[in-house]
Amino acid sequence: MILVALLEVNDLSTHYFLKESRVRAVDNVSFTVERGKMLGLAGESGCGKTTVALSIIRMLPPAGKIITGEILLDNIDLLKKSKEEMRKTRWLDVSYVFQYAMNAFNPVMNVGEQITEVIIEKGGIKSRSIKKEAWKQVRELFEIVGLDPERVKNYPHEFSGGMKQRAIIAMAMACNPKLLIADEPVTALDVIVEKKILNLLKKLQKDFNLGVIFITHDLSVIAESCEEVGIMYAGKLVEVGSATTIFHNGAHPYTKMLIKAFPSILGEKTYIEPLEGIPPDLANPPTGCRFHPRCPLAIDECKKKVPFFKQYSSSRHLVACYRAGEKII
Amino acid sequence: MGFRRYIIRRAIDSIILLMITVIFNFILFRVMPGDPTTAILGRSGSPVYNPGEYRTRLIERFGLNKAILPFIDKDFQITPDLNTLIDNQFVVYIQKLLVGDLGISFNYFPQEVSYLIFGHRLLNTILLMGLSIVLSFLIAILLGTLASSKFKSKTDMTLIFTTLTSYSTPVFWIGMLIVFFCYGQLGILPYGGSPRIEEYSDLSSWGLDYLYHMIGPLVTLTISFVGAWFLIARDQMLGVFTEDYITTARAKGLKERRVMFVHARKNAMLPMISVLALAMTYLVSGATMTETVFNWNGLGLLTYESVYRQDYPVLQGLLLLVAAVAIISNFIADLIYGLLDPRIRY
Amino acid sequence: MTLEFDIDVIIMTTSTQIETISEYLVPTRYLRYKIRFKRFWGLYTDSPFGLIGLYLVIFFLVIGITPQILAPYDPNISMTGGRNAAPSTAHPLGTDRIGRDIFSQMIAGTQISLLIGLTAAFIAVIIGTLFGIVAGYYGGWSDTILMRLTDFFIQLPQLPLMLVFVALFGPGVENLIIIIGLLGWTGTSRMVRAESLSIKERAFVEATRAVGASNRHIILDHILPNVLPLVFANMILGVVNAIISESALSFLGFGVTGQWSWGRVLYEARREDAMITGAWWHFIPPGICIMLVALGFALISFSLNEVLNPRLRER
Repeated sequence: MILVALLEVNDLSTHYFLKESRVRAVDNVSFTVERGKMLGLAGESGCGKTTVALSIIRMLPPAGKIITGEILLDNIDLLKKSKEEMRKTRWLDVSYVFQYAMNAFNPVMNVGEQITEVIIEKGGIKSRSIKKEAWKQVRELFEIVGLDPERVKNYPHEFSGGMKQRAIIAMAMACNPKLLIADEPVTALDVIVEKKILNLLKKLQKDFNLGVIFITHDLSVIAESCEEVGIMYAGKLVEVGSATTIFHNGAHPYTKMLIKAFPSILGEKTYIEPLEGIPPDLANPPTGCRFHPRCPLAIDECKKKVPFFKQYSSSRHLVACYRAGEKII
Repeated sequence: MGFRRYIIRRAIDSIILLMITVIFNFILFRVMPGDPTTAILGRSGSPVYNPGEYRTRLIERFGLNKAILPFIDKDFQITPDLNTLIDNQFVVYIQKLLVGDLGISFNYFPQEVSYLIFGHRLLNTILLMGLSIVLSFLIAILLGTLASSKFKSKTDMTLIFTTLTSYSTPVFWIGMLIVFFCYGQLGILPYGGSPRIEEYSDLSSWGLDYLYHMIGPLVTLTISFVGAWFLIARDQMLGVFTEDYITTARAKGLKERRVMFVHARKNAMLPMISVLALAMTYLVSGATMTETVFNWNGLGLLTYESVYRQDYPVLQGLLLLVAAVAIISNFIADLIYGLLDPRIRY
Repeated sequence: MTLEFDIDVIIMTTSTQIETISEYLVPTRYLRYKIRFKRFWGLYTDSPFGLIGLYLVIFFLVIGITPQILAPYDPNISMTGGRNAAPSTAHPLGTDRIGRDIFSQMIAGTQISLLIGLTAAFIAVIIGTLFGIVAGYYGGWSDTILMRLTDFFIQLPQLPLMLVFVALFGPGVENLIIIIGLLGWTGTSRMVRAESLSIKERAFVEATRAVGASNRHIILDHILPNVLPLVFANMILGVVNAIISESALSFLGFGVTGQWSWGRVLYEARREDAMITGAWWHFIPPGICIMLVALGFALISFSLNEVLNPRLRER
């Protein structure tokens, strides 16, 4: 038996077609997510992290089109599915925790109702007993995520931010998905609640052997919870590898600079170096390596040819850079 | 719970507003320039043999020095001292109002205002307005949903242009066009009027003729209401479509029908309730323009006549009724709002 | 709120974008306004509606400014061409029951209709802005009272109320302007209140207050410039309502009496039963004029709203 990865994204390119231009939001991105592992996708705002995630569940805004690539979930290409098949796949196989936790619930329906509706929908049949069963499941889910099961009939505005986030996670777990995509799930929360939510996600991931894609711009969150890390820059994946490799042995100049730009609370006091410059315009991306205008190590080759992913320190550590590993002076 | 307190607060607000309206109505008809008796004598075309005696009779009948209008004493002189009179008048005005006495009409002398308003005219208006409001509301929401689901498409643009045009067209002119084409040129619709049940032998023949006469004004009003409401409905639906919970509902892989009708519609309907509450006042104010063009004998036509004849008691009564209905329907809208949107209750 | 630059828009826009950024970085006031206008114009002309509206309004404004030149006859004088005459080369829209030239009445009416529409909307917008800013900025009791008042006036149907006022204060151009203006402020007041409430809470106003700026300064320098685009869009919509209200009141015979307006031409047409006698030239042209000019303003308002309403822009 050959072990296949839970999710395999191969050569994905997603572009936005605007009135006069074409924004290459995601270009030739490939990565895999294993069962029971958490992959952190990091990068500056606007680097295409969310577009990758939306491409996987095929919920892009009208202007967005997937140009090339395949997205294999359990070896089945999601991009080949019809709209209706894809609709059925959502939440059953892949669920999604959106960036805007606060508004993810419909304000005029109670929380339990919004979770049961998806259980009933995915269950296929509608009957009174199924409905009862669904409500029972919601109570259990509430217990799992650490909410009071008595509050299933509460309205969203009666929950605090952290509770809402737990309820959203409960909703995401409602149909036992294989893959969970969490898009900046903790950005809006304070540090203590953030920590609790991260622990909860971690626990669910282990207990349910869940594959998780964790999207954030906050490297410290990734360092804490992810096994694998992917660094994105301007629509390109520039480096992937295990968390320890990336944080201790990151080879791409952008990765290094990104890590340096984050303060460490426990470590010694060092000078934080902000990243100079702004990300490029994705309608007219720079030739060659997209990072070269901001890269201190750029050479002529970087401007001419796009660097490809190459194995670096191990078979699982890939870097797309001609000068990988070289010291930044 | 919070809901009860919310209702009580709204109810108190409404009662205060109602009292202010009553006072406002009292003052409004007392600050106008001119002498109403002159207006009546000059306008009504009654054979006035002895103006002095006629005035005395007018004052006796209408209670001009008390209940309706100030400034005139028994010698038909404008009184310089207002204070004592106004106090006295206000008490009389409130007393009469409490027993439902709105005074006597100048124009339809000696009929009472309450008889004029709460009769077949009110029924005519409610039937016409009610039907056209329901019809337009449904059409507006249907078109609004259609347009917003095809945002910026040809359908959307055509609908916007058409409804903006009908919004920009004076309603009475639409009525004139209908009279011109359907009565003047084609002869398929009656000229106007609203058949009274007394003139018919049986109910069904009256009903048919009534509906036949109603087509013209109904179509006119519906065109104009849809023009006013379509953009609101579309805007509401669009606003809801961009909400995060709609994206979530779609990501949950719910059927598009469920997303549209359960998640989106429920929220988009909330502001439409205020629109409907506003429309409730039309139920009693009537459509002055449309009723005038089609000679539809409702409260709108009565308003026109009363302005034309300077029939102040009737105008005062109409204004009071409209304001009262406005306040009450707003209160009801608030209640429905509170029931539908749990956030409001706090 | 609306014409400010936000970084998201800069990041995800067009091919002229590099140029935009470099221009933006040049701190010249003139250039900034130029860019803002360019951006605004781009959004405004996104659909053809805005331009159509502008052309319609300009067309009628030109006629309204120069009625003496364009009108072939004095609209008040009976012609020798006969009474109730059908259109001819001498009288393109025929004559009325006492032989006055209808085309000239229409030209003269353009001026009065536009005058009433624009001035009444202006008055309404000034009252609404004042109430809205006071309610939104000062809050508290003034807010409660003003908003209750606004709610109440929004509830009342406009036309019957206007009719009552006309019955009390009499017809005439000045009275019409005042009455329509006094009853049309509610929408603006609500919108301005909401907007000034949100601007009040913004960081730059907080900062201004922190350095000790007076209320007057904050209102004039920060709130007012930021609500102006919205107020303007509202005024345009107000013009539509004012023009239609004028025509309605005049049509009933309670509006313009001594002079000519489109509404009055319609009033005369109905007096002559033009719909039944088939004299279409008497009542169809004025109606079309009202419709077109109101549509012109409505289209402008719609397109402005497309630009100003961030919710619609996001999509």
